[in-house]
Amino acid sequence: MAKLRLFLLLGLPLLALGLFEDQTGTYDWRQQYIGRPIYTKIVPSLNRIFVASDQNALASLNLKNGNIVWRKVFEMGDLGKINSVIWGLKEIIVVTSNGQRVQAFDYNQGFASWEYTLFKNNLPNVKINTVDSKNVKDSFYVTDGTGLCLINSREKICIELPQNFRIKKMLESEDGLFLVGFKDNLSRKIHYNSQLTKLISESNLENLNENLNENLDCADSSNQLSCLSTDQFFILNNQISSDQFEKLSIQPSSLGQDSTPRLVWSSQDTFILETKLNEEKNLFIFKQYQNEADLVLMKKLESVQAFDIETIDQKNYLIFSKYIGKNKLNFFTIDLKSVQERQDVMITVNVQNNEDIIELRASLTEKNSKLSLVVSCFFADYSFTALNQKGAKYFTREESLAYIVSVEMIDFPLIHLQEEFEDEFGTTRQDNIFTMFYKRIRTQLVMLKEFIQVDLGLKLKNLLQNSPSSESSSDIALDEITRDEFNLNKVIVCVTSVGKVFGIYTSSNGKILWSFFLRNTIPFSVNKLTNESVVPLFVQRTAAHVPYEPQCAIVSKVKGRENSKTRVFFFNPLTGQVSKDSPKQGYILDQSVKQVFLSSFADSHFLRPILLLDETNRVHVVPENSFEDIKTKYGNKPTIIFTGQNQNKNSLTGYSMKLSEENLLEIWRLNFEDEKIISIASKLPNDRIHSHGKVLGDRSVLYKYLNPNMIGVVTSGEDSQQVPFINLYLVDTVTGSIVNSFNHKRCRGPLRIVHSENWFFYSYYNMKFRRHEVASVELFEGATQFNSTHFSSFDDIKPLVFSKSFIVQRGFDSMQVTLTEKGISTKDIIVASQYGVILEIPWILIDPRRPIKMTEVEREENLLPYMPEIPLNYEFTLNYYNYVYNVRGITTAASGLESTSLVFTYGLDIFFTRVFPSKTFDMIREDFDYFFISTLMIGLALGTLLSKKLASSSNLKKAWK
Amino acid sequence: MELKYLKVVVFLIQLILVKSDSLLNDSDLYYIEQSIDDSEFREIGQVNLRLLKQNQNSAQLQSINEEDLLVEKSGNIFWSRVESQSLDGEVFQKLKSALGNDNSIYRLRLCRKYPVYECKASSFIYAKALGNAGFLLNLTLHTSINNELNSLSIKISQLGLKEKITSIPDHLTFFVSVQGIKQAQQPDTETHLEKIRLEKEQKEKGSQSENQSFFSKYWMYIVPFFVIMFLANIVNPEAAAAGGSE
Repeated sequence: MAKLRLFLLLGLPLLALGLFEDQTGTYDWRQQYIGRPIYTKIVPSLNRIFVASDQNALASLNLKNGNIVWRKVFEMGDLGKINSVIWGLKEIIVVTSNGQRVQAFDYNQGFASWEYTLFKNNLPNVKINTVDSKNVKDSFYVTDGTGLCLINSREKICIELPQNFRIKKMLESEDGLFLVGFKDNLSRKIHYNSQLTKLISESNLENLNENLNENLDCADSSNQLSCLSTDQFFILNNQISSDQFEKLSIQPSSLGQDSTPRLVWSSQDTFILETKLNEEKNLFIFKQYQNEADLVLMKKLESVQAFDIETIDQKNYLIFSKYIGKNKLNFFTIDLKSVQERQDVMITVNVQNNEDIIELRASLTEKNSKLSLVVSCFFADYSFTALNQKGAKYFTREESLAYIVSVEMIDFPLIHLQEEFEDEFGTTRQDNIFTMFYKRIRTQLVMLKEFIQVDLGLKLKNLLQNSPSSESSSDIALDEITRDEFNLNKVIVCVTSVGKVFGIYTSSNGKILWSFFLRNTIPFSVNKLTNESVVPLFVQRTAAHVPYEPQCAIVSKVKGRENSKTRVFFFNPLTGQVSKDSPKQGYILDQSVKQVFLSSFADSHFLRPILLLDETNRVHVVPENSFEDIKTKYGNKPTIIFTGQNQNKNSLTGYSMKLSEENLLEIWRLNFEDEKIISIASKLPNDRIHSHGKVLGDRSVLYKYLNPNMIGVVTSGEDSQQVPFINLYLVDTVTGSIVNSFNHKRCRGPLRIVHSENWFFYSYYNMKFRRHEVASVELFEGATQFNSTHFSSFDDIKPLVFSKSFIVQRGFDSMQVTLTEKGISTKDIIVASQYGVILEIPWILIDPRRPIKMTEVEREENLLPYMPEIPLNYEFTLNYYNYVYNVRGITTAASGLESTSLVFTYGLDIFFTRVFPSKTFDMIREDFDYFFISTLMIGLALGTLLSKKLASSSNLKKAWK
Repeated sequence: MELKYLKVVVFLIQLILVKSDSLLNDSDLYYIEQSIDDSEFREIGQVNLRLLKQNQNSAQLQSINEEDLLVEKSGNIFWSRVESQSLDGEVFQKLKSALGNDNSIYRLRLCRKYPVYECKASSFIYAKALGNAGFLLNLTLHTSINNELNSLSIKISQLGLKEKITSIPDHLTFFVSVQGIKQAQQPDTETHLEKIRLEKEQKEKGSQSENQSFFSKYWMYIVPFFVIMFLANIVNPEAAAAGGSE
């Protein structure tokens, strides 16, 4: 028994290697999002709201607080794209992957109950039509235009549709299933029985042929198909079982000036038309009386934001929203039978954002013959809100955070003390040596006071309370936040593709400090191949230049005619306020811009202006008042060069920089012929290099090839035998010459690449071996350095190139390199792998100098022997069970501690953590025994004093002997 | 003897190729165009990408010594010497004024006329650096997978500088080399598996030696121990006995 106890005791330390529950979330946090809803259903009885989004997510939210109860995230891109959702009685039916897959999920927990593969065509952007069957219990019809399936939990019955039949509508009546569409430019109706075992009839719809084209606007209700002829203003109404259409005419004058109305809803005798004029939406309710051919306009609803139709007990209700005055949003309900407004079901709510509603979903429930209404709204700034009948907000979710495109982490200022420092060196001309001395003494006294009051006070308080310092997460005032001791807390400025900008505090679980919405923002498309778009964000001035405020700039296109205008918006990243002296709506440039970058020189106010290169190769400086400042700075320097990527011609071009009215001079060109540029990697602007060389095992130095102008360009293409390949070109952007190039045969993307110091690291897919691979390339000058003081691209340096490739178990969605204050810590790679895991891969594993056969010198240098596979261990995982999906980017930033780098990932979810690439060498562990060490030190000191005294007295005694 | 024959054969092949390439409809024939400080380019010479490659290959094959005029060798790169056309008066003047200006740019680009006229790659150097280099330049042409021209790299030449040229010569000299794209390394599974196999074999050998009996393995320690014990007993039997009685 004693032996068993001993064995168990020895076994326990192994368990301690894991992460304890109380250690999770100490400095890391995650926020989960859904994206823009395309299908929504509110179920007040379950207290749930179900959403399927354009970010390939299906989720159930708690109606009261908006928390995610469960969420399913399908694959990234087209593979997981949600084509259609049927809110069945017991299950949610989701058609994904261009109609190739259908799955059913349970409402309660989101468990997948059954799944089928459907259509194999995989046509991109295919329209999937679905119908929840009334004739066959718990069954659903799904068609992609080429095939038609009847599915339920038990079986799948599929038939092929006639060739060249382009489906428009699918309807079900008691007689079976009807498909209406076009074949050989004739409109056709196909009638199947409910079980899809028999084609009952196939006929032409004569009236439809005469009047309508393929852009026909139709609405359907049970047993009835109605189509609107816009040329002649009449509605063709058809009882689906008959081939005859009934013509119902509308008075064109009743619809106002819009000549292209849309039929948005129809029933037996009620028709709703929508018109749009100058972004204003109007609704018209028409009714047919006693089978008359003329429709009567019953009601005109002006300036409607959005609407929805709800049916209870075969009664239809129209719910629509409208702004009444500023920030006051009203929801009205109209009984469509009597076309009367229901005053008892009306919501009035005050909204702050005052934005247009993109989507409105309503849910009406009847209890004791009393109607109650719940609505969900998705606004233009991508905020998602649910409201109850009393006008109380259940929740607001900032779904735009699932669309982050640019991120910067901003330091907090030291505030008052910093101003004292600045003042110390004399700001006015009257300051002489005595006043400056007085100011210095005063500053130091203030610092002493601060230290006693704040630092010691806080520490004493913590000691008395016996708990580590923790900030209360609930109430943080923006102006109270200052830099912490190790600069670990920052503001993450996130710009989203929809134009909403957020300032997120890295502490307090990612609390949103401020946000604002830039209307009419259109992102720049940077890579049409990967569908990548960006809204560039630049830090023009940090918080280090007191009394000047820090400033950031956002550059985007503006919605308008041809979207050709460009906007540069300046704001303070700590408060989210518009910068002083800059226009409220930002600077608007009439030209469209092909490249945007930050000036390498700052103006006299420490502000680095934005330089914009327009389509005619002219440079614009924003703000304009910095122009003269930086022109003089640029004027004295030799030519500055940058690159422009030409999307159509697959070439890179370099221009000589000139701040004048003239067009820029092209000075180099790189041509990739039939290859397409899929990715470009450059160094992070704040990448720090600590050492110029590597000390080898034999104490000699191998100097790094530190070319600050080098970028990595990755292209894809096919060779003469149609074998796909990817190429990596290491390009010097000053001279436009290729430093080195590599070809990977039978490989393709998705490709991710990072560049830091003298190395590149990239991942790709090997088609030959069907596996994901990574490669690292490192460049060295050799045992001697060409020029130890500065680097010139014109020098004829032929770098030594080391390269190794490795097999990895999975592909990577995104990649970034860690950043530290001085660049002393090793630079690890942060990757977001598929299946939601964020990993930190140590540099030592991907070092291209890993030898196949180890020599003594290499062993001395601590190199690992080469292994063809990089094992992605669980210890590399940064986010333990907090999985984050569809990661599009990772941002890293340095903290005040050399060992610590801050990591922020964004995609569908956002996640923040700290990493320690070289372990925490500059920190004392949390469980450090202060008491033991101090007792030991005091003991030793006393011991030394005592022994000194004893020794001297014994020496004295010896001398007397 | 055989090497001589080989040289002759290579020369003949080159001659035939040169003849056939003199026709202008060669997509590998590139015209070197230059521009000094303005946007206008002028044709000053031509290079044939295919011939350059062949020269480079044959030079590597024959390991021609460094005195050879046609191809010069520096490190592991073989350079072909290309002379430009004579500089006319206007260009001469432009070059002269550019040499005195720190920011003057000397640009080169490579264009082909067949199948259509298009300029593929270009690069630049400061005109002053050109003067300092004695009007000799190294041009490296980078090619891609289908032998398409990617880029042009201009560097100051370190070659053939027997005496420094200070005045503007009547033509420029280029040392041209072609650098193709490298095949990237694949994960080296074979060598690794071979290494594992060898290690396994060695381990097996090691385990064979472990199968020996205890005595056969450590007899060299056991035997001396017993011998010493035995000898100690013989040398001092009384002390041992006395020690025992105490």
